[in-house]
Amino acid sequence: MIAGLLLILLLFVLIMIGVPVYISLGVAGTVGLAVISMGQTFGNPFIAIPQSIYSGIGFFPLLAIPLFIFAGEIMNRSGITDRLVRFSVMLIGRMPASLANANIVASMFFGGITGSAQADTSAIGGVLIPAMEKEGYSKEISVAVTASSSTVGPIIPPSIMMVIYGVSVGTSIGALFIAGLIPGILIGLALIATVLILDRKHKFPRRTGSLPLNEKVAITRDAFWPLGMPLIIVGGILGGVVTPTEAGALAVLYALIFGYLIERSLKVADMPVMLKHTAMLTAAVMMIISCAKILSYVLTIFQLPMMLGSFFQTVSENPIIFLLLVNILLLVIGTFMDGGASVIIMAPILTPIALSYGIDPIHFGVIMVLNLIIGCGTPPLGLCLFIACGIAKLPVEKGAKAILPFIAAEIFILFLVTYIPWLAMALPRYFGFAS
Amino acid sequence: APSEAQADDPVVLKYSAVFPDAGAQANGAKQLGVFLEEYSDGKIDFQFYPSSQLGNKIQSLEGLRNGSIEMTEAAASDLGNFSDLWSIFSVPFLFNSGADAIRVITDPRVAELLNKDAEANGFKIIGWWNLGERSIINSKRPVNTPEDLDGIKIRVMQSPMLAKAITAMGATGVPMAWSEVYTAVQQKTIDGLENSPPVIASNKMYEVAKFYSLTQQFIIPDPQMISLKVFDSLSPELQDAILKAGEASQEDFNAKWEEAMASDMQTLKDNGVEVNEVDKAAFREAVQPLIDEYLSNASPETRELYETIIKVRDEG
Amino acid sequence: MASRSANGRMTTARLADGVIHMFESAVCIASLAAIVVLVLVQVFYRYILSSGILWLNEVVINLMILLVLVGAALATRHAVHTDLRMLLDNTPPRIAAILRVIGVVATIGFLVAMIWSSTTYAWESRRLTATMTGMPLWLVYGIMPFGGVLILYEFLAKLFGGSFGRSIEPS
Ligand code: NA
Ligand code: NA
Repeated sequence: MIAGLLLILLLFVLIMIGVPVYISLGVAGTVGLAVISMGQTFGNPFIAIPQSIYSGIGFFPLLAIPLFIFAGEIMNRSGITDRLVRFSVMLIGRMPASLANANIVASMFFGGITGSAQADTSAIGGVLIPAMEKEGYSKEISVAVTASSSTVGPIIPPSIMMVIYGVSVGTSIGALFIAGLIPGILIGLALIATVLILDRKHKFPRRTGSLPLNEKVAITRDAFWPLGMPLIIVGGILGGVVTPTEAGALAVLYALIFGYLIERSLKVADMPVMLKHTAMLTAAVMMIISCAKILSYVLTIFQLPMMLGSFFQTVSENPIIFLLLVNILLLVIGTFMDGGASVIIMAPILTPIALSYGIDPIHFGVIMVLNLIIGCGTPPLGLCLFIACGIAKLPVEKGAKAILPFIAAEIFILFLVTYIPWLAMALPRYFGFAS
Repeated sequence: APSEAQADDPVVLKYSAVFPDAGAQANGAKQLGVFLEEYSDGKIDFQFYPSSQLGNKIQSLEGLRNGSIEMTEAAASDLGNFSDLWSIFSVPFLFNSGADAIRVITDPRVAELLNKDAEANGFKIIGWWNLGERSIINSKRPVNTPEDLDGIKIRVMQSPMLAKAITAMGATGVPMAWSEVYTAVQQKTIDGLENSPPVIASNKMYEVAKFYSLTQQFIIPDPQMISLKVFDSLSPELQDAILKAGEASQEDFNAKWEEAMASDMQTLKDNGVEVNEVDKAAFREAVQPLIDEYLSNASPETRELYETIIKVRDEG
Repeated sequence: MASRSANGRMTTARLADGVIHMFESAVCIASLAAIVVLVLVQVFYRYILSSGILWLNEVVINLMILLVLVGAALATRHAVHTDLRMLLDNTPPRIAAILRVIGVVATIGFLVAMIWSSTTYAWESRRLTATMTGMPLWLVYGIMPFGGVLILYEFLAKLFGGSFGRSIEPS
């Protein structure tokens, strides 16, 4: 127990001093294996390193990850970001704080194409942070809106984190994807509400002009193809045509057709660049998963999961209290640690306990991903916040302060989804993914 | 080097399993732990790690070879990853029933061949669990003959023989991760799967497929194993306790399995599943070319084992 | 004379570094492209031809291992791995230098442990073959130590950029 907690402390220290997250996980795991090798052991515990790396990568459903990253990469390079942004601006129209709200809506659309929050931040943020500043928004609010809204990316399907959760607890990834749809939209709406409340005090710039009809038609037509992609993914899975991995492959095919045949904005020479970029992003995600598995193995042998389980059981037999404690725990972890790694380490520990409280694993997966993704907008390890601050050239401390009301709104939705299971479970149940 | 403190500490035996912490197998593992601790007078500390916490089947088996994991269980055919001999358990219609398979493989003539090969690969078998017969359940129609399987997509496991046998029986084999199977049948991505009644019942497959045909193509018992490296380093008293515990577990589990089997079959029927007997001879005939091909490519040891199994089986 | 031979070494190092970079890129591009094509072929088989290809999953998984391990080296070169620089940037230079050294030692330590343990693992599996394709397992598992060596190379090259014939690129 103590050894396990010390390893987690070591992990955080290494991350804090700038060691890449996957190496930090690997070091903490390896130190743990060294401790095990000094106790009673009949073999070489370090075998867990290659075993974890191999099994952390070599599992068929995980293939969905590079496929969705690749599809997002192609769409992005084909120039869909501008189209989605223009379409969102048109939809928002003359609503107060127009561009801030359009930023949120654009992220919801973009979330249907990308599986990662960071991809959303850099794509939408790259366009909208400068645009917002130009319209007179402060750097702070531009960063806060961008970083917080990009967290809907991994909640609205597709989602890399849902794939990781589904694989590590053995739950249907398709069902998890569908379960994230309503919570993702709710997060978007809550962020819009936050903007509107802040608008009363700050009076954000508001667009007054109206677009002529023919331009509206053109914008809608431009957004037609990009918006077809989420339909392919969600529709394919809902219709039972494809598994999530196959949906990923079809998304790639769709994106290629769009980029090379419909839009024709891509050149043959772009292909190796996109493949290489996707490979590196995939490697970054999968190495974190793999090395988290080493640490997870060590923590299991140190009996940390068992002790955590009996701790929850002694504190309360009430699932409401259990979920409250889980939310607090995961919110804290989410701010310190990469989301994927947290899922690998925490899902096998917490999900069996959740099951014993009668909580559905699909519902629990949505709670877990929501929790961890909120951490992407907060320091110390808030990648979305960092990326947004980087684009705006704003010190992270200032961005962190400005994002607080948005984080509060997300936590509010998190609690709604936690205590009203229907919000996550209605769609999977309706489509027969869960009983 | 073992110090004085270690001499007094109980020996920790970590038991790695892929099945969840509930159900017949989990209960069987926990009961094995009770036997181990009891027969060793508390000199063994049994630690149960369900749900693949220490890794999947291959990782657990590698752990046993290495000594970093002390105990595990696996389908006998899974040992085929380490030695060709164990692919014999992938041969369709090899045994008459799960219970009869236990009789055959614990017969000294068969057991000797199996144990020798297991130990050569670092595994010490201490008992055998009967995990019943795997049959086809599908959402389209009752299956009586190979023709009825025409056009039906059945999920197959990642093993050449197990997959080819399903195809030879007349179905279309589709490899798929177990976690996606329920949804895939529900969504009609595939039409069915093959497994034993307890697995089908506990995964609620009866909600999505209503025709269970007792094809009984695969009968694959689970050996309970301890790492040979670990076993050899223990005192004769502990070794004795472990062997006794394995025997007790075999008897206990297999008795309980028959009860579970009957009640799970009832669960299927209660949930509207139509269960039917099949023309087994027709299926046997359909897979015979596959078996002939397998035997002609097999090593002399594997052929010897096959012949011994058939001989012992037909005596019974 | 001395400087010319030093220059010669520089050129060789730069050339070697370039070859390694090209190799890594080629492996990543080829394996990802193959994965996409094979999964599409699988979709085609399942839905159009109503059958499955049994060996395909295993091949795709092994391509994925190759993609990730070599991709991890490439990601080290291009600084794509997730890390947290912020805190170090706001630390007094002296302390930051010490912390950096600790980080470097930890990184090299892990990579060496990974290379050593996965080499052992591959060696112990030298007589085994993969289930569906019959490919030798040492070849599959050997991707891990191979990737580990590439990652270590990229890490050291980044650390001592100059001696590897690399200009220090901003990350
Ligand atoms: Na998404
Ligand atoms: Na946004």
